[in-house]
Amino acid sequence: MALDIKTTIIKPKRHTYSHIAERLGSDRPASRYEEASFDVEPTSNFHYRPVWDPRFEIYDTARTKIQMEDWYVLTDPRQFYYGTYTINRNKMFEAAETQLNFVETRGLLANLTEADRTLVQKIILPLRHYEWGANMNNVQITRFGSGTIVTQATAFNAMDRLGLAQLICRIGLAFDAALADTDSSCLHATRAQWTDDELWQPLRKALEDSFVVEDWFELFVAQNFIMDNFVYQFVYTQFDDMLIEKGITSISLMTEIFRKYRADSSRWVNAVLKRAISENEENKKQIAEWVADWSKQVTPAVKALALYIQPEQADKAVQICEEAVQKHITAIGL
Amino acid sequence: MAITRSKPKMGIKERYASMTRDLGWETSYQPMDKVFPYDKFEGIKIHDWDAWVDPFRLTMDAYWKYQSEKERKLYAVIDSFAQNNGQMGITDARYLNAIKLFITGVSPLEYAAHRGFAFAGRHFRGVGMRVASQMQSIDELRHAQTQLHAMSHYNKFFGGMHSSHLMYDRVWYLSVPKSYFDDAMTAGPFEFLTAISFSFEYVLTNLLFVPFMSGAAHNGDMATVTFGFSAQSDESRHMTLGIEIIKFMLEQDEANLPIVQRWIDKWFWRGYRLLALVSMMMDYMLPKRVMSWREAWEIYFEEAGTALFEDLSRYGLKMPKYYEVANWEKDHLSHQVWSTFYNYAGATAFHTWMPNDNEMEWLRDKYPDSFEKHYQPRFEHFIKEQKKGNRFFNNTLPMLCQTCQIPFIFTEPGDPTTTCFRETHYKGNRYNFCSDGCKDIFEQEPEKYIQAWLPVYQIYQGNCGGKEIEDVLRWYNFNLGEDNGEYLDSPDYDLWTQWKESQSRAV
Repeated sequence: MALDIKTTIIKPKRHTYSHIAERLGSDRPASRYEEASFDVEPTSNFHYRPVWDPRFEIYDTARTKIQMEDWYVLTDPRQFYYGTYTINRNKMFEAAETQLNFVETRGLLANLTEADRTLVQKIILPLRHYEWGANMNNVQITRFGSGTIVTQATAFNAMDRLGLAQLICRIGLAFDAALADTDSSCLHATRAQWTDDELWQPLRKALEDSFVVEDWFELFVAQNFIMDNFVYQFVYTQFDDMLIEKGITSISLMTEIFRKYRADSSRWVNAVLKRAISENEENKKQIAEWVADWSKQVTPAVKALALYIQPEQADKAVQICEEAVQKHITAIGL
Repeated sequence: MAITRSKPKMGIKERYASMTRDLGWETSYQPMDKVFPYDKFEGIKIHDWDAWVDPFRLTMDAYWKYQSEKERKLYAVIDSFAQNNGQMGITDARYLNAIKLFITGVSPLEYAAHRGFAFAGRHFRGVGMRVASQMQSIDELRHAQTQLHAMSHYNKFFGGMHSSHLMYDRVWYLSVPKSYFDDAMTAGPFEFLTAISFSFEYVLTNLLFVPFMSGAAHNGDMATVTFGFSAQSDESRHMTLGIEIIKFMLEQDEANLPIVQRWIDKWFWRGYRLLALVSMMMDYMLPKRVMSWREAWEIYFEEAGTALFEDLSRYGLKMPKYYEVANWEKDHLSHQVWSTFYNYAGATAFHTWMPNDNEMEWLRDKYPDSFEKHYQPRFEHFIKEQKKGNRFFNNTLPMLCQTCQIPFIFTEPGDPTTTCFRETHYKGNRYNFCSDGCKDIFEQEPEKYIQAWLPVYQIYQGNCGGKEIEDVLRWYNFNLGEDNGEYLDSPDYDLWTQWKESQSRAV
């Protein structure tokens, strides 16, 4: 027997907003994702052109070479709007915090040899600057991209990257806490490593070159697809595998969130690219060109890291990395 | 195994700095001026970006924690509101016209703020300011989305809310808020923050956002008022950003003062003109009033605003230009605006009506120096005609102010019987203004304001769906006879009366 509470039923005149009903093809109840996302960005009758760039309207589809009949087909498979996104990320980062605390309270970092500790610090910690660069690029897309469905997701992704940059700082602080004998924080050295150490220059160059890319869709491909796939695959998968082989699991615990984040954001990034590529041949050609260009730029960055970590294995490591990225490239239809 | 926990190596301040401003670096493969091309042309001189005080020291994990808790609570209330037919609990269906104004005229501004703060969040070279702007950017997205969700339930039963985005792009009076925000978004990042964070959020928020939320609280609108409470802590963060940015600019270089003063003058007047819509909402649309526009202006601008500018006078800032005009207009603004919208009810996505006897008394009481003398006779005439079946609809198209885009409905400062009218000539054309404030703004940047998309002129040029008013209204996506017109003749009124009758029968 089902419980049957009698409520007053009042017949509604309509079930959702007009523009949503038009998109759904009928007036039926819409999801919160749909109501929050569709057609929110203004499309016409702008009053003034930006004084800082009068070539374009406030929102302007001419800001990219990619052409879409309708930008709102680029939906996010995670269906994130602000509420669902925030609740999801709170859980994700609370879990990460728990793991970090576990490593700290059990003193797991104290067990590392000095060589291993230096290696980990040198490979992981400067990446906080990389994450910050990824934040900048996603904020840029959030302003200049087309369609709320795209730009809300890049806004969320931008905040993810700030959160991840801050999480790397937390890892640095965990190292500090584990080392009672030093006074300064290991974080202090990372910016100089990032700007001056040869190890990081190819990646920093690729990232800085991306900062001045004008076409926001190219930036999306460069940052969220190519650079991220290479960097995450190499550092958070391959480098992590290597540490585990050496019997070091503490780092893996602390960086688990990066793999989770990447799996999650890849679903969205790949879905967007796959749909844009299937729109027309020109898009496909253009995106393929960007994929090739940016792969060329970021490969030396991975190679530099690989040579530093295990010179004799470097070529193989780069090859494994490229193969893994290739799987994503195939998955989006190139 | 040794569990070592040394003393913390960083204090809270340094720890926060390591998680924000330490993340940035001086680029060298690309010049900084190319990576940040927009933060110098406005002429604001910044010598030390690190002197920026981070107002909240909020890291992302803390942000998600607070915000997700608030979201959970808010959506629980929105769900229960819908489940229990919360729309039946409001004071009167007339109230929903304030909500119609809000969802078509204010929610789109929240969204515009989201994108505008993304621009600021990317294009200042100071990391601390970028982080603060980014957080505000997603807060604003939150507000736009939660408002769509909170008001979605009303949309199911009432007119005027079904096409807010399209209406924002097209409808004549919504070009007032749209041109306001377009103006800010097309300005440089420092002016944008002065316009939105300071003038809009800090100086005027108690006259803009808050009256809608208080109106909701007084009129039984649980969905909207819960949103309002939920947004309160976001708003206070935004207000702090507003005051901090002003102080930062003024402390960095004294050459910044005249620029900042000019922006404050401009954005005070621009914001004040936008508030004309709020004034009528407060005095006419709320069945249960919170306070009069005049009272609100006295408390939140004349007292609080004056105190604020006194405080800022140590930086050399003065009260915004033409504040005396705004003070004078407090006795007239809402009445002039409401009678205009009463006239043009055929072309609005909300309903208008004439105040009842009690409301007339309230208006006389709140406006002893102006209402009975200047506005009541006009309203009595409207009522008399309406009773005879001649409800007045103005079917002409009004001329609009080139800057604020409001028709010429305001009167000369000090003389409520003469329409205020200003003009200027630029490159062989004449441009018209509702006030000295709007004329000054134009003259500072004529190349910007000649671009304005003035709805009435666009209609005459044939860019708005057709020649007849009805064509234009269809282009606005109005459901004619449902979204527009007199309240007493509206389906909203019929539905509400029906509900109330069935409720009293049940009793």
